[in-house]
Amino acid sequence: MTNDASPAGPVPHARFEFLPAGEGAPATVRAVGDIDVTNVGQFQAALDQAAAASSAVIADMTAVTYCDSATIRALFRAARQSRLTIQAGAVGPITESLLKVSGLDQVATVVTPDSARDPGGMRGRSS
Amino acid sequence: MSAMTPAAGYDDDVAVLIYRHPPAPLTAQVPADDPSCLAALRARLRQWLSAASIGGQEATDIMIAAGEAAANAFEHATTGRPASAEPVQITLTAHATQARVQLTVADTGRWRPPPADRTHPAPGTRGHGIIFMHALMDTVTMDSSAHGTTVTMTKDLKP
Repeated sequence: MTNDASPAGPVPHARFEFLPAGEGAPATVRAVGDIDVTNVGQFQAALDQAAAASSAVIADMTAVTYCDSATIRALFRAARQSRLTIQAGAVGPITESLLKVSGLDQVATVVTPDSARDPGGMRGRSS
Repeated sequence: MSAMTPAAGYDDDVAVLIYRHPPAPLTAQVPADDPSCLAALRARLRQWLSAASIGGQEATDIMIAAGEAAANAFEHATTGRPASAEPVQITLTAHATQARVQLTVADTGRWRPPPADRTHPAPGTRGHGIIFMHALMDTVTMDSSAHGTTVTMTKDLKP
């Protein structure tokens, strides 16, 4: 059955927030929504801005609803520019398995809700 | 349950059988004339997955695999194409049974051949898309011809 006639439905808009480094907290880029080829450039720009301002950057991905290899490439670039920590959500597109398959866990520190509760069990390492 | 109970109650034992009826297969086609077509395809798939009661990590994995295939189709179908040419069409289909989901992503353009280093791309370079599809789905096949490319992927659903 085809149902091409139905509308595509609302497309979630993504938001990228740059939070400058504060007392004891590194610069943070918080991404919310879907990241794809149409807006990964904005995400990259926010990461570049954070890396220019701070040697340590947190990419808060806990509110990302969709992302793909374009986002992984942006995170790799950020990891070359700064000491990158990736915060992953309990569910969502940024999973430990995807980070491992891509090799991002080798160049960035990955924090999951589980590892945040148990810092000793944190996966990955910073380099 | 109480709404289904006859006013006079039941004369005998009652057995309740719950059956998850798979939704009708999805077919969504968009012209690859603008990258926003990718979001339109995602919206359709998201809606369909929800109707199929497929959620959580399985739904996320399927969304990413389909998104990668569609992004590849878009990129390769539009690269080097004259502006005057008819836009390439990208067609997504999804079909669910109780035990598995099958997706196809087809385009009417031509893919670039995958890079030779597709199994071990250098970190941060292109080539992760196909690796992600393989990592997230149980089977991935790609058929290319002069008339287009079709990626077929299946994922076994947890009972």
